[in-house]
Amino acid sequence: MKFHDQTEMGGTRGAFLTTHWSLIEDVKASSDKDKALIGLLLQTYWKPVYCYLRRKGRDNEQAKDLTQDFFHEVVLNRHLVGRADKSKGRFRSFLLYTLNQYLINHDRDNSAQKRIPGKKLASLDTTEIPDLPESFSTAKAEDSFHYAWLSSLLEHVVAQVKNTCKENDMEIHWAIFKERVLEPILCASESVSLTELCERHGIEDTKKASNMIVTVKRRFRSVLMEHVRNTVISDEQATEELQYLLQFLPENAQRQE
Amino acid sequence: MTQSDSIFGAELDRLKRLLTVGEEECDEGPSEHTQRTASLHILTDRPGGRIGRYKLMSILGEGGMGIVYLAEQDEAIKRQVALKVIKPGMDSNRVITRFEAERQALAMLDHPNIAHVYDAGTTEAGRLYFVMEYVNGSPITEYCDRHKLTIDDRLRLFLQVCHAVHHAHQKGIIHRDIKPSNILVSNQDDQVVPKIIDFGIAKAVNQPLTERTLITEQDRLFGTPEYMSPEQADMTREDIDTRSDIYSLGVLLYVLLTGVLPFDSDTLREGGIDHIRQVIRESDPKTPSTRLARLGEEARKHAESRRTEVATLARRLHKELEWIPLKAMRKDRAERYRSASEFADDIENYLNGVPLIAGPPSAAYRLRKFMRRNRSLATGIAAVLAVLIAGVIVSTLFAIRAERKARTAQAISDFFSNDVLAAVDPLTGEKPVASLEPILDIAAQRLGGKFDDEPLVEASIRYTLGRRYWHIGKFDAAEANLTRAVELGRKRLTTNDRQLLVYMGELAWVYAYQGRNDEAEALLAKTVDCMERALDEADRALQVAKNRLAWLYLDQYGRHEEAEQLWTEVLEDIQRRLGPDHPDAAGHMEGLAAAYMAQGRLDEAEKVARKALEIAQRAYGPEFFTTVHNMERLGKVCKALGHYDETEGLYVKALEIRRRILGEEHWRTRDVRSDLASLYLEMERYSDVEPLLVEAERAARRTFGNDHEITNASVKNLIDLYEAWNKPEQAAQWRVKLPERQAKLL
Repeated sequence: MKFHDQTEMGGTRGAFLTTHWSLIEDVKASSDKDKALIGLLLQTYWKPVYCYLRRKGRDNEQAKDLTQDFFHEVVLNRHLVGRADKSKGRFRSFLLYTLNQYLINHDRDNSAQKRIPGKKLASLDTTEIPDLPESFSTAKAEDSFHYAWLSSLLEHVVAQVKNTCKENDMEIHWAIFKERVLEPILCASESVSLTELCERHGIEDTKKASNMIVTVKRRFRSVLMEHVRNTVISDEQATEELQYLLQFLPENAQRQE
Repeated sequence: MTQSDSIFGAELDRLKRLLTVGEEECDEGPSEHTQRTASLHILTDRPGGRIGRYKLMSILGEGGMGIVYLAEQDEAIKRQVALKVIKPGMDSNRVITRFEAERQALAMLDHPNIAHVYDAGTTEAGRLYFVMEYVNGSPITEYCDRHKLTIDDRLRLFLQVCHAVHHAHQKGIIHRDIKPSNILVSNQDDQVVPKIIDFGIAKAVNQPLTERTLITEQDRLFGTPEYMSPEQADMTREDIDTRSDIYSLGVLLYVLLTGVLPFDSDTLREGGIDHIRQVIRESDPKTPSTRLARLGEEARKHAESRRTEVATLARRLHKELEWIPLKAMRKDRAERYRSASEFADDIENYLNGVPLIAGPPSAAYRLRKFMRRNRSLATGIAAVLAVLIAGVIVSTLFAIRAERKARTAQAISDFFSNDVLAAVDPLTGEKPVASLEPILDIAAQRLGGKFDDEPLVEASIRYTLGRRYWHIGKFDAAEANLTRAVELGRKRLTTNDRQLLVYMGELAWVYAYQGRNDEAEALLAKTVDCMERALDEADRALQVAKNRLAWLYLDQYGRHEEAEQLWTEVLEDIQRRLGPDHPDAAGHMEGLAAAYMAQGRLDEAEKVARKALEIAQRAYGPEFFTTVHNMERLGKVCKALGHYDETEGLYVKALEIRRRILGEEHWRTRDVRSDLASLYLEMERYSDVEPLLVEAERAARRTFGNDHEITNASVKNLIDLYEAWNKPEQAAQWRVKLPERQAKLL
């Protein structure tokens, strides 16, 4: 395949792929690596791309197809990676920029399809059609991208923390964390008192419960930072990236300065 | 509801709260914070949304130095403050030290228009922060535009700012980062109150203009080089003084008045750091009125925010108002206002209709600016212009009584700088002046009415303009100005006065070039006559007039002997008083040679011509016009004698010089080119003739247009050439270019 050239990896531009690459080091066969990488990227980042495409006017099926094609293109066609100078180390920006470029090219020249193998190496496996929250119903495509990015990030963190708890026999830890911290935030439900939690889950005293929650919180935090760190190229950038996410507002919100 | 459902689809602020999970050590859920609508925490390794005794409430904004939070102080006093956390990468210790050095002074800053700086410190994570009075307002430029403040209102608002800055300066504190976002304006009890923030911080933080300050962060550019003074841009931070703030205030005023920056942001930033530094240090900003005029449609918007119209605004600026910000923005800080209070005073002067401290840019300043822009033409136009102005002054002063000399010199100088060069600037903009003509045109246009009670001054300027026009071949404009010069001269002078006679002689000469030979001769003869009576025989003016009269006789009337006689007279005179090889003789000798030639006395002509050329070359160098005239003259003589090789050498040299100095289209170039072409034609060197004739046709078409006798003549020359050369196809090609009626005649 023309663009299938692993030696082109490296440098800032290839860094993100390298980061993710390192996550699948154990895959041996070379063609499997591409497949694994595409799969990984798809799985982790399909939502922002999908939302962006929807906002750009594609319907559900088109958006899903394009999403898959896009990630194939990113991995298989290093050219696309090569053009992302502007992102300065942020995968989020890089992805958005590349996506935009991809769309431009795609619209301009449908023969781009030919470069992608007819049979997909990895596919988008979902039947869900995510709905953006209300405040984003009229937002620009870029804003939707960022919203979806943020929510995807959190979803993955939550999922990973949950899994870790399960694997380490910390189911109760997870449960009380969920009830006391997660759900109140997400569903605006009333926070459960520590005493009640102790009763419900058979914990000795409130102090213990408190510590358990703190443990999960710490874990949550470090997983969050790790995920953010994966998408940038330096620790300093990680802090700034998190700040950006904290401050991100859709265009029509009022800002000062 | 599955987990992922509840994350994707949740409102943004909920997601953000998830991002902050794990910051506090305590086990509490977010219940405490649900009361607040937007509870954002600083990201530090240390838990808690607090820094010292300040609890962070929300983000006010983000700037070049870092993020500004709204915070609440709940120890000692309970109050709202603005907390600015500096971006990582600053050397916190040094900054704090610098800040501490100023802290005492800062504490003494007590002015209603200056925001207090209360405190500074470092977070446990090592991030530097400052605590300041919280000002709830908008940047001054935004405020003025939003409320559509008039120019006068803006000036009054700006006055308050000046006074505040002055107060700080008196306490020894320089701001160093004055810009709109550091001057917040709010409405307090029906009063418009500006407050300057960040006093003492910029200096402590001390951000130099480096690549870092312009890092693009999510496509927002930080750092505001537009307001940076030249000395700050220069990086010699050691001796920045209060005048640096004056500069920034000047830029601010500029923006308040016009709506645009003196240096356009986009063009400033596109060149990179060194370019930015250079522009700030060296380029003179366009005057506000010029900037406004260039904006076109956009200008209307700016005028509207000032409740006025573009024309009115431009006029107002141009008269005087724009001098104020420009004075504050001088590159040389010694030329700026000496203090913020002097700055304020001048604004008050303006508002009260009193003459300003800031004057119009001086003649020297404008000329320097003009010269700088026309550097490549230094030996050409700029120099000529300088000589022109000086020449006018000198020649005028001869006619003026002593006590008025200084004033008159100044008046002339001012006329050129304020009325002429000032008008030229917007015309030429970034492009250098290509020729003297537009400058002459403007001067001629604006001269009327300027010196009504001093006709001799105007006459003198008209005379100079007239000569310049003649020199560049614009005979009609020359005639108009010289006629006026004579008219004006006649008001105060008689034909006994040298000045008037000189003007008359010049006018007559122009008549000759216009082909008005009778008038030329009449006037010139009269002039010579009067001169012989009124002036000393050694007077150059008389010699020049005789010389010209002689040419008239020679060229137009075949009155060769009379011409010869005039020249011989003059030469004898010169020889007697100055010696046989005096440079003055060269020009007259050329004429004498021509007179001999016309009478067929070729050997004598050759002798004289050679001598003349030798003298001219020695005295004036190879390129001076007298030398070239003599080259051409000798060439003609040699041609008549059949010494073609020598002729060719002389003509080729002469043509090259003419072309280079006067251009392809000048009539003198035309003459020598055509002489050379005839020579080649006679020698039957057709391939050498061709390029000359092509050039001649091109020049003629450019100068005279498509249907002019000279243009047509040059086409005919080409047709003749090709026919003589036996190239009928080429001939035909050119025949097509003749207008029909002409072609038929061939």
